[in-house]
Parts: sequence; C-alpha cells; structure tokens
Amino acid sequence: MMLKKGELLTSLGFFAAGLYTAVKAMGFPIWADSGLMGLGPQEGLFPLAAGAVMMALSLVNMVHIRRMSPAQIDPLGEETEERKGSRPTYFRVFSYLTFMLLFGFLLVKVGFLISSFLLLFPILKFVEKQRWKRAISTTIAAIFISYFVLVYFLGVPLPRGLIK
Amino acid sequence: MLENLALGFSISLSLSNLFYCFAGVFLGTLVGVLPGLGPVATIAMLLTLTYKLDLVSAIIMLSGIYYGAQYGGTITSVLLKIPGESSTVVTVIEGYEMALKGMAGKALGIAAFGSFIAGSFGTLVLSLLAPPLSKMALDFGPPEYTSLMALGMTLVIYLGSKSISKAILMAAFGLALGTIGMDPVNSFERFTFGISSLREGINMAVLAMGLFGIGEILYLAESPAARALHETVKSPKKLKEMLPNQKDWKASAWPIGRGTVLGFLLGVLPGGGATIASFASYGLEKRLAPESSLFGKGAIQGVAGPESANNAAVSGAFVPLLTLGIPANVVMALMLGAFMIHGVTPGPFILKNHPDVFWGVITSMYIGNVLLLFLNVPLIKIFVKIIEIPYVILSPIIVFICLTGAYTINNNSLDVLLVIIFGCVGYLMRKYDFEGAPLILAFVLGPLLEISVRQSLIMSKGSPMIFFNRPISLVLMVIAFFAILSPILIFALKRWGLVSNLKESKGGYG
Repeated sequence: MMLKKGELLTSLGFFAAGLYTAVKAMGFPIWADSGLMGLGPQEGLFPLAAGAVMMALSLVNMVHIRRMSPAQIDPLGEETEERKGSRPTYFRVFSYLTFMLLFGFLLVKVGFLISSFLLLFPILKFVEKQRWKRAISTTIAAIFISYFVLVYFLGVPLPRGLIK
Repeated sequence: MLENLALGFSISLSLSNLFYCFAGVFLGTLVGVLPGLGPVATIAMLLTLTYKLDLVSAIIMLSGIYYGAQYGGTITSVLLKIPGESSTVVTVIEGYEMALKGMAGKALGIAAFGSFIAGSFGTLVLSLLAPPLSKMALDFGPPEYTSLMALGMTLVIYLGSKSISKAILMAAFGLALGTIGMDPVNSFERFTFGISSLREGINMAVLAMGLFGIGEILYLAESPAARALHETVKSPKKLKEMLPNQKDWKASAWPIGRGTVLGFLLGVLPGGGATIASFASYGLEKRLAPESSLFGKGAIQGVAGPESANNAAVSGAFVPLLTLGIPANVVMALMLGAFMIHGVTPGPFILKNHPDVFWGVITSMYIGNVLLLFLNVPLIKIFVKIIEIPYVILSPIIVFICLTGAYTINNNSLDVLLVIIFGCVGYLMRKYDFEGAPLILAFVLGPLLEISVRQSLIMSKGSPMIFFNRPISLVLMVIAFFAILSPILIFALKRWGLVSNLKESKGGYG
C-alpha cells in the first residue's frame, strides 16, 4: 500500500532528523552546575530534548502505521482511485519541484524576469496544459505586476542577470 | 480609555492606514473565497512585504486578512458547498441548504451582519480587557512566561489536533528548527552547517510559506480532484436579497449573541480559535433550538451563530498576543513574527512603550469590521467571479509569489531553496495528516521558551520547583498537566462507568 509506505518513510525521515539533532546536540554543552557558563540548561539541552522526542514519537507512529489495516489507512478508498492514474499525479508534483529548483538556481544567474518566465510558462503550458495564449498572457501579466509592485512600489532590488 | 481610542483612531484613520485596512479585508475575503489558500499562507507570503511597511500598517493589513478570510470562506460555503476556510465548514451544513431553497442572499447577509456585530463586540471587549491584563502581565516573570508558553503549546496540541502523538512530534520538530542559528542566551552557533546566513536562524516567513503555501500547492498538484469546482447555486443579484427581514433577525438575534461570547472566549484560549469556535457555536445552537429537527435543512441559526463565533474568535485571539506576547494560534504566531521583524515585542510593555501600535491596531479592527460589511454585501458578485478562476492558473502564480517573496527577504537564493525544502516537508505533512499548527507555534515559541526556562533556572539556582512555588505559574502548570492527562482521565472515567456519554477528547494517542 503506497499510502502506508509513504507515511512510514515520512516518519522514518522525521526519525532520522531527530537522530541527527540529538547526536549533534550531544556535542554541545548540556548542563552547567556553576561557573562562568551559568546555571542550568545550556545550548545543547533543547535540541537534545527535541531530537529525542522526535525519535520516540516517530517510532510510535511507525509502529502504529504498521499495525493499521488497509481500511484504516485509506477509509475512503481514495488511494485505489488515485493510483489508477498514479504516474500523472506524481508527474505534476515532480514537475512543479523541478521548475521551482530551476528558478532558485537561475534567479541570480539570469535575472528575475527570465527565471520567472522559465518558472511560470512551462508550468502553465506543459504541466497544467493551458493553451498558448492563456499561458503566455498569464505569465506576462504575473511577471509584469510583480515586477512593478516589488521594484517601483516597494523598492525591492531584484537580480537583473542577463538583462542589464 | 477615550483618550486611548482617540489616539488609536487618529492613527488608523490616516489615509495610508485606511488603504492598508481596506487592502487587508479585501485580500482576506479574496483568500477566504479561494479554497486551499488560507489566511495562514497569505499572511506568510505577505510577511515579506511588512519589511517595507511600518509596523502599524503591517499589522492592520495582516489583521484585516485574518478576519476578512472568515467571511470569504462563508461565500464558498454557501454558494459552492465548499468551505473556503476550516472555520466555515459548519456553515456548509446550513448555508448551502438555505442556498438550495433560494435563500443564498439571506444566508450571506445574516453571516455578514452577524460577523460585523461579533467582530465589533470582540474588538470592544479587547479594548476594555487589554489594559488591565497588560498590567497583570507585568507581574509575570520568566517562570510565569515559561508556564504560560508550555500551557499554550499543550492546549494547541491537545485541543486542536486529531492525533496527539503526531502533534507532539511536529512540536518537537518545530522546537528543533527553532534551535538553528545562534543560541539566544550565549550566542553559541547551532546547526548552521557553516552557512553564515543561517546564523540568524530560519526566517519564519520562509518556513510558513514553504509549509502552508508551497506544501499546499504540491498537495493539490497531486490530487486533481481536490481542485475541481462544484457548480454554484444561484448567487444573489440584488442587495435587497441579502438583507435579512424581521423574522430572520428574530431567529438570529440570540444565536449571534451567544456565538459572539462563545467565540471570543474560545479565541482567547491558546489552541482555540475560529474553527473550534464555529463548531462549538453550531453544537450549542442545535442543542438550544426550539426545533432542532430544522438543523441540517437550512436553519438560519446554524449560519448566524457559527459565523458570529468565528469572527469574535479573531478578536479574542489578539488578547494573549497583545497583552502577554503569547500567540494563541498559528495566525497569531505569524503576527508575532511581524512584530518581531520590526523589533517590537508584543506583551505587557507594548501598551507603555508603543501605545500608538497597540491602539492603532485595535481601532483599525473597528474600521475593518465596518469595511467588511460594506465590502462584502455589495461586492458579492465580484467574489463569485473570482471563485471561477481555475486552480490550474492560481497554483503556479502562488508558487511564483512564494518563491519571489522568499528571495526578497534577504536577497538570498538560500531562502528560495529553503522554501522549496519546507514545501516538500509541508506536502508530506499534508498528505499524511501531520498538522502544521504545533510546528509553527513551537518554532516561534521555542527560542522564547528556552530563554525563559534558562532565566528561571538561573533565578532558582537550578531548582525546577520555581515553576511550582509561584502561584500564577503553579496554576498554569496544573492546567497544562490536566490537559495532558485529559484523554487518559476520560478513558478511565468511561472504563469505570462513572461517565456514560462523555465524548472523547479530540486527540488520541497515535
């Protein structure tokens, strides 16, 4: 069951984050009884506690998920319906992520205008399957309005990149 | 009191602040109308704008978004049977039924007037309560603040969460994220990975935009069905259709009154808020109605009460924020962030040190409620048109706004990457029902909690009994312990047959 596997992996991710936090925190001072460092908890205590709680509850959640029946995990049977088209739905998620990362990578290098176009237009045209006219007009309108508001109204400097 | 209100109105009635108030309530209504994009994501996206505005204007606008969104959600609840906001889920039950009977205008009208009355009352009580509460808060020391913050987080986890274990996990994650950067007491670097930008920690706007903005968009991208629009019922064409008649007022008067009081009280409570207030009001009205069989078939009381409650809760939520500096819910946590961006810490000293901010914000809420009434009654047609904008157009635009907004915080591409990372986390959280509220609250309160815990233990030379020796702190700790133990207590009482029909608390272990 993909939902079950997905939640297990997510909980495992939180467990790993908690483990990393706790281990790293043990390298910091945890408690001071007196002296120059002051009394009581030091820098390491809070992250250690947070990491330990994350690990414990992630494990609780993983055990709980493993014990749940398919009907309990997916009471509405949505997964069965969804998975009929599983590739297209994750395709949209990965596509959004790809173009977002591209935007982040190119923003300073090629500038705000070009990177924004490379974010919005492909998503509208190829991911959301809009017509050319709508995709282009929405892209240009969004970029124009945001550029105007940010640069002229709010005075925010945006990277120019290739367009000087 | 009158002098304070005069000061407040002199600030909030300036042209620029009137504009920001209008922008806030308009944006808020717009946001409320669009399912999936809530006040949390919108305020998170606009937090970056607040760098450029002065504090009063920023808080006025953000507050307007919060209470405007409550009404915006009503429009989709009544016309589309889709709750625009979680606080308007209950309105779907009666409001849509009224719309099917051709009474959409009345449902929207009574919601608008009820919201206005409740919002105005809530603001009045806030004006009266805040000064004495602020004085009382001056007696709060680090132990009291520790206990209060611990209580606030406990109530958010135990009252507002479907799964307590997941909520605690999220709170711990938020605490962990809050430790990134310089330690608040000794300026020791923690989890910065050698990146200088991370020395100041993760920016809250980045975290919130990622979790609630990008995360929601990715979730909707996966589930096309969630984006499908329902057919609308006939929306009101004339203003006259939205005005309640005498019979409507007679049926709605007491529900509006009860909803207002209940909503305000629940809004004050950490972990409470507009959603719980609206549900509680609906339950109360159903119980008190002379003919409860009408509920579920278009009972106007089922719209009037909850809609009043959710707006009153918004005013109530400002009480702990402005007087104690403790956010009662996620939106208030973001407001706290907005205050701190400007170097102002809300709490007992804000009244003394920044009375212009305090009274300017409170009086703007009076104005905002009036604007909301005049905006929403005649402009209903415009908002209905906006509902028709397809999500396939909105989603990439929201992504664009979030990423651009993240960059403009510090002109740093790292913030863009962080928004995307938190967006992935938010997507997984949304998909597998991990709630964001405990995470954000813990993230905001964590550093403050750490400071007050460490200060308290320095005061007591390391003894934790300081949290139990002081009366206010003791009371708060006892309430927190009861909240933690409540599911077990209720389970035990039921098991022993001492209570037969007591409903289980909302939370559960696992």
